Amino acid sequence: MTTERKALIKVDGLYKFFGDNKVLRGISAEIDKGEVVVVIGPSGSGKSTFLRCLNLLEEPTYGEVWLEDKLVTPVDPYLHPDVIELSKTYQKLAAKYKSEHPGAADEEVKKTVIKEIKDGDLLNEKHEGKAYKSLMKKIYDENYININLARQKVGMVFQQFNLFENLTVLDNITLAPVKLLGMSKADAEKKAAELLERIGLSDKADSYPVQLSGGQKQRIAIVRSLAMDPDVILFDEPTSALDPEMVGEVLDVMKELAKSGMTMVVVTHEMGFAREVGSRVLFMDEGVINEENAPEEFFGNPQSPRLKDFLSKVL
Amino acid sequence: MKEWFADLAQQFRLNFITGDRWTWLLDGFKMTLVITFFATLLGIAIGVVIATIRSSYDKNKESMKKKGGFGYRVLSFFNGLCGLYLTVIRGTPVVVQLLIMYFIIFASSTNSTMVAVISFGINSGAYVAEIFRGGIMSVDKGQFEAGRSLGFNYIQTMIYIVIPQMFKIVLPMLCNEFIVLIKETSISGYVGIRDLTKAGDLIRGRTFSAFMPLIAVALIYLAVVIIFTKLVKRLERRLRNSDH
Repeated sequence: MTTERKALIKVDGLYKFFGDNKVLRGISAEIDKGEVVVVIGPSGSGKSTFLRCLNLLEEPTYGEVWLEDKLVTPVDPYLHPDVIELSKTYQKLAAKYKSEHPGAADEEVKKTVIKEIKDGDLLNEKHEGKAYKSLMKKIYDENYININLARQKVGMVFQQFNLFENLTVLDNITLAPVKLLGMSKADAEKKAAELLERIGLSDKADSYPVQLSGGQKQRIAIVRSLAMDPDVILFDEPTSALDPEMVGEVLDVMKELAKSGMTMVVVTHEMGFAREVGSRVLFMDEGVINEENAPEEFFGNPQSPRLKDFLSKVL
Repeated sequence: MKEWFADLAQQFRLNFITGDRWTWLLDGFKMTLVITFFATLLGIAIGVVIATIRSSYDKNKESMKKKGGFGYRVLSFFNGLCGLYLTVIRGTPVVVQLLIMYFIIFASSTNSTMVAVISFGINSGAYVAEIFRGGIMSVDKGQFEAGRSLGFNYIQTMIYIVIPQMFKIVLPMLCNEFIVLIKETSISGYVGIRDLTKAGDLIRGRTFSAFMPLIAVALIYLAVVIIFTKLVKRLERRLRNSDH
């Protein structure tokens, strides 16, 4: 599972079902250090769910998420053919297939049977044998990282800000560094003061979130995630809940952040931001990545009819 | 008319002044407050634990069930235990619970006050647990997600973020529970505790006049409840103000 290029986030075969609603249907993507990846798409296309799967706020139904070469989801047997081949279900079905199709090539058997298992969701982990289980456990033990530890390095900014209502602005920013990183209260407060100064909100340190405007809340939410020194920040429609005149101030902070080299994954409807700041734009539709490209190509020369249609409506 | 007043004054003297019987009421009142106070504390402690277990179970059962394993079995065991506790406590009269505690479970104990505190605390815990559970559920889901996204685990998120906000939501209801409890402790006399009610009844037994002592007892309860209700109202107003 080691790749030459070390992706910061690697997503493989991601599926997410809410009951019968298949929100994500097979997403694979890699995000490198320093990239600003903007995800756009119509509502209900699964953008937010995709983003929330990256730090496991939603648990994927299938698929794996890797953060800096560490696995945060359970092992997905369907991504490891060697695991599937050890399963009793596979062996039974393969034997059946071979008897029905004598002379079938091994590769063909493998491919068809694995597809059959996957499509029918036939794998029942409880009934699989020892070999299957021990290989699954081996892969997991070698690669996994505790999700709480991983999340310390993955900031998140929400559409509804989600500042802690019971804490002052300063405590909102210092809580996690003090409790999780073991930073001293004084150091954390000093750092928070610097960050607040950077966004021009030093005078709000002792205010409570309810006393702030939406734009101020969102800028502080960005600072709160910055205080943990994350490797990447996920933005879930950060400007969608804001009054129009406040969108600019939040986007400015995000642009500055991008310029400083922060890796960002941004789900947004702000096409201007995508064009100006994005290093890559993903277009999601019906639970898959429909098209992805650098912003100039993406907006200047869209390929898929679905994207053309979408852009003609939003631009 | 004059005679009636004279009679009233004489009754008052007989029931409260003679033999310093008013001190019986005072001591009984103190006992009532002590039992109520400690039972409330115990109830809150039990309530927090049970509410946390039950809301954790509700929130996580889907994802944990899929994974199965030890954690899920432990949590669902404790959740079942809590469900049983709530059913039994809320389904039986508190007098019966008190008698069972005193005569069966703590039959060898001579400290009846402690037995009463435990009984009323366990009883109150069931109601407080449901209050807290409602409180936890009504804290915005985004608060919880923000905590988790920073790297706090489930319990840390509860302790630093969700439970402090829950307390603010449930504080008025918690005070109501205190008011209910203070009246409920009037059955302590069943196990020989001289609480306020029992003290009034003892005076009645001594003086053979029921009116004065029992009305006095009722007035004391009423006064406490009215004062407390006023405080709760003021508290509610204060809490609302800090929201804006």
